[in-house]
Amino acid sequence: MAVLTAVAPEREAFIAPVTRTGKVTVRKSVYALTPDEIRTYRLAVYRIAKISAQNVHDNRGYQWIAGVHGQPGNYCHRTPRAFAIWHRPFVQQFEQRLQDAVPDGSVFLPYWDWTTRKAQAEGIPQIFLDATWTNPDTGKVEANPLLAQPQTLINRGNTARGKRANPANLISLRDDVHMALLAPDYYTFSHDLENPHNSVHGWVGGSMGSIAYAAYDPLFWAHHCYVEYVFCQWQDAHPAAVQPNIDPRDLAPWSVTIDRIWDYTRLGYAYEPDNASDLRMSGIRPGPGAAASNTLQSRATVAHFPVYTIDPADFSRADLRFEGLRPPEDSFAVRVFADQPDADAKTPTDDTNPHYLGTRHFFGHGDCGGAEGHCDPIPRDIYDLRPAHHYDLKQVRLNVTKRLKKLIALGRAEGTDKKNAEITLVAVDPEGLEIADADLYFEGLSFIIR
Amino acid sequence: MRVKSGDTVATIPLDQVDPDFSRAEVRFEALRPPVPTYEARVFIDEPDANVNTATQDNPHYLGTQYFYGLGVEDTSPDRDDLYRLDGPTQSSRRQIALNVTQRLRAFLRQTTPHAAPLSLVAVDRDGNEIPEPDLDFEGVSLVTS
Repeated sequence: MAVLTAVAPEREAFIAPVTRTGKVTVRKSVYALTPDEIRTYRLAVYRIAKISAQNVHDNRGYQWIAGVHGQPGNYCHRTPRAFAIWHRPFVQQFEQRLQDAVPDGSVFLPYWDWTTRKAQAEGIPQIFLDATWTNPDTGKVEANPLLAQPQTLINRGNTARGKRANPANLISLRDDVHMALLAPDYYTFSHDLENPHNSVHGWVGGSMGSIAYAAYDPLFWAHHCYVEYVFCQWQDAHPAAVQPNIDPRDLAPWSVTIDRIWDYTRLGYAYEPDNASDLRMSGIRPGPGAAASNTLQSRATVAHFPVYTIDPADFSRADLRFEGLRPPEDSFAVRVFADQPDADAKTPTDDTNPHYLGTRHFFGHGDCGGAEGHCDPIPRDIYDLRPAHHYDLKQVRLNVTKRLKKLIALGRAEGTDKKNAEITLVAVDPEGLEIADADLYFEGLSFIIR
Repeated sequence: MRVKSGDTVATIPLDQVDPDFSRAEVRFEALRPPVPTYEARVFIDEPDANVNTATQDNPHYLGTQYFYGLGVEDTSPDRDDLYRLDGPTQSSRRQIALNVTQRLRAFLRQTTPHAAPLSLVAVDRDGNEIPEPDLDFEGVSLVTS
């Protein structure tokens, strides 16, 4: 899967729209970490391991947390249906313990996307293989805390990994993940995702290869951080999916209910796509009609994406997603064109125009029917359980699969070596007349390619 | 039942399969989660399948169920008792479903309906066949919907 994101210039990275107070942790790919981020992550793991070294039963320590999964806690999803949802709080609590250990706000859990070509070429990411690092707490060169950890809680030696098979074999898991993402309901999704997840545990082998010991291996957390990312993507793609009926015992030992953790956007983390650093350079820039903050004026070229670098055979669905979009007051439509910067309301939108990607129709809220303040969103805090305000920022998507495949195929057939396609938006009213100044505010555009 | 690698574990009456299904699963019924980690390759109408049988460009290959082993035997008491409040354990028997939708569809396109054997081949992480895997279940279903 590839997720192409362009972000508003004032934002450092894409985060899901969150209107409550609290810092959102943005999880990044292990392949996108800066040297400082690698050092900080290692430092956090080192520090919680040190807590365990001082007292193995301290619940802030690496040993205690790892021991919840298999030996000695044996809590890891005792029923198959709980697979995806049980690991959600497990992964988050580990990340929060790391953040407690390095409380400057810089720590996040990186994810290892084992469906990428990089993973298939290199296998386990290098930061988990390095033998040593320089520990800033001691100033000494010491054993890399991401390579192995002791298993003192269960009286075993250090974690170890097996002799690994060719990582190219991981390619077969890509289809499995794609299939899981197409699942129509949570139970099917969770079941379908568990199988490729199992395969990675077996492929790494050693401690990772057994439920009993897996969580003691530091690689476990990057693996499951990616599993959670896939879960979030599935939820994004299925916003109407019914919340599953999970027995509270299936969420032990977490003191949470499914209501509390089903909506991941309420949990304070989000994911940055693994190619976001490339895309940031080609992110949103003001087009000829665009004002600041991306309040759309018609015929605005709002972003460009390297879509020509993607093989049409590599994806089964492509969505163009408006991030942080404020629902408009009026009803109108936005036509999306690629590589047609002079598009206007008269530009063809049928099959004769390969640059037309689709139209997103907005159903406006209309004039305010309430008393003063009814249409003014109020920032919510984390304790607010009321439904979202009708003007809270949202994600809105447009399925552009078929037309994008056609456009890329055309670009390749023409032998062009360009990478990027410019996205131009044209706003039209219900009668098809162009609206010069549409009431449309959004914070960014993403291409979600699966 | 405990099965050996290469065993035919079920016979599927393909003439009863509605070809218009949107999803097909091979379900292991009441499977006891295994202790070791390995994979079980599922073949249809290929009763002689073994570890060397192709899994690519072979219409008889339906998919692989990866088993993520417990690592240690679970010695906790049976929790099927009606009055226990602590629920199932990691080793409680369960239903495991393998999505075989696309591959079964492809297989059905190139065969005529008949009773087809379903066989399992157990393979360890080094690619060696496991003659007697830790594989214990009460039945196999093919479920289409």
